[in-house]
Amino acid sequence: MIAALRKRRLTGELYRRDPKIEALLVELSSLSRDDLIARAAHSNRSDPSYIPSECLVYFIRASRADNRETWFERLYKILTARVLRSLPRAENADGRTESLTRGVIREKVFSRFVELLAADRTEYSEKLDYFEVRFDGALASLRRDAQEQAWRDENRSAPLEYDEETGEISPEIERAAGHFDPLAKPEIDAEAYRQRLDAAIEALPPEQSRIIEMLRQGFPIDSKEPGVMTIAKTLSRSEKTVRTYRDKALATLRASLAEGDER
Amino acid sequence: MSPAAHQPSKEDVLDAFAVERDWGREALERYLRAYPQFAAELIDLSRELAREIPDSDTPLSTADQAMIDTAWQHHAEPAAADPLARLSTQELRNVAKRLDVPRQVITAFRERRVILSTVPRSFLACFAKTVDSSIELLVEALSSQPSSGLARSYKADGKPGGEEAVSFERVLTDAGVPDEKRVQLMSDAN
Repeated sequence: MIAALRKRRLTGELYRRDPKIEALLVELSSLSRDDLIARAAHSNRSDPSYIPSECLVYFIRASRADNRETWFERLYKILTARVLRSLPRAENADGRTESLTRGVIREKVFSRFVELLAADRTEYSEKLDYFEVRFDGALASLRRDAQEQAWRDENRSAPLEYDEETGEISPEIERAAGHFDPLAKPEIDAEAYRQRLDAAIEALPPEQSRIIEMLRQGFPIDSKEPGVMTIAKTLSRSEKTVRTYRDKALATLRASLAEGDER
Repeated sequence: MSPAAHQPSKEDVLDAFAVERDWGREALERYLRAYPQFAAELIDLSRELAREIPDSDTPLSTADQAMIDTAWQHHAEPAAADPLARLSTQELRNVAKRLDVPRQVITAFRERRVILSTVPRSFLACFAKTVDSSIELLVEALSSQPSSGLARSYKADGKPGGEEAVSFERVLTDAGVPDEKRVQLMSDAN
């Protein structure tokens, strides 16, 4: 019998696990603990016997009742190792430098996650339900939370250095941005490119990275039609400001990605 | 999505978006329309959700392994030593009831806000018995840093522990314990 989740959706009904996860939990429950641990140790997602982290969270929480610390410890170490593996590393793609912010975020997310596990051990914590619904998403939410704190700590949300209303973008920046579209997926070495692009985007001032994210999702900068969700409206900025930030962001991204090519 | 009668917290909205089946533009737009006050956070989260998860086959670095071992030690050891850390909210309530004090008195102990030398030994003895511990173990645990309450420290902007420890009598007064009861608890004779 797989215990139901307790967290409620914003609309009021209870969250439920993905039916595939539920089915797998039933199957896995019949395994011996040693067999389950052996399978859980597979960390490659493409491995057919890979156990999704949603299931590991379930078994960790279910072990609360039986007081068998050794069993809990084995699952705990496997799951926390997965968390660390999935968090972007502090080292940059060049292998020589590292991002301080990324290092801080990694530590914050990790310690928050182990705190959640510890809290749930004492008393059911609904926050962990999210990790059984969609582990990667729930972890991404912790990353965002940690990022917000890291940005606050380093004062990154400080306003940009030019006058928004009268400031014209310099011709240099305009030229540098040009027709560059970093979001168009290159065919070669897509994974390495994505990692470098992610690193370059996360180094942008928050407002610029938000514009890039909205562009990636296909939102228009502005629209004549009143009901359309636009970047300008969402971020409460003028169309001109959004375009200026976008060009600045693109110029920075282009420069960062070009640096990587020179290696 | 119809927003509930009471406005959900930022954390609830973001977590709900994070576990949606699909994180594409349609979902983002739906959330942006329903919760425009969290627009910046939703967009930041959308970017985090789009990140590709790094290859999970890479071996852990020594530093990562050390992080896991340290986390486990922190988890395993203080929980055994701190008789208050392992109690659930309901159990804490029961402890308060059995000691006949308001719950915030127990919370004050749990958060190490009571100067132990001001607590009558008779109370400590009852307290230790109630949590299946000895006076020595209880005093030792209460003299060290708390092993739980981490979630509270994480949420706060500043570091926890800003509150000064106060005398047991003061804790009782602040918790609204009537004078007569307070005198009785302080008398060390029960």
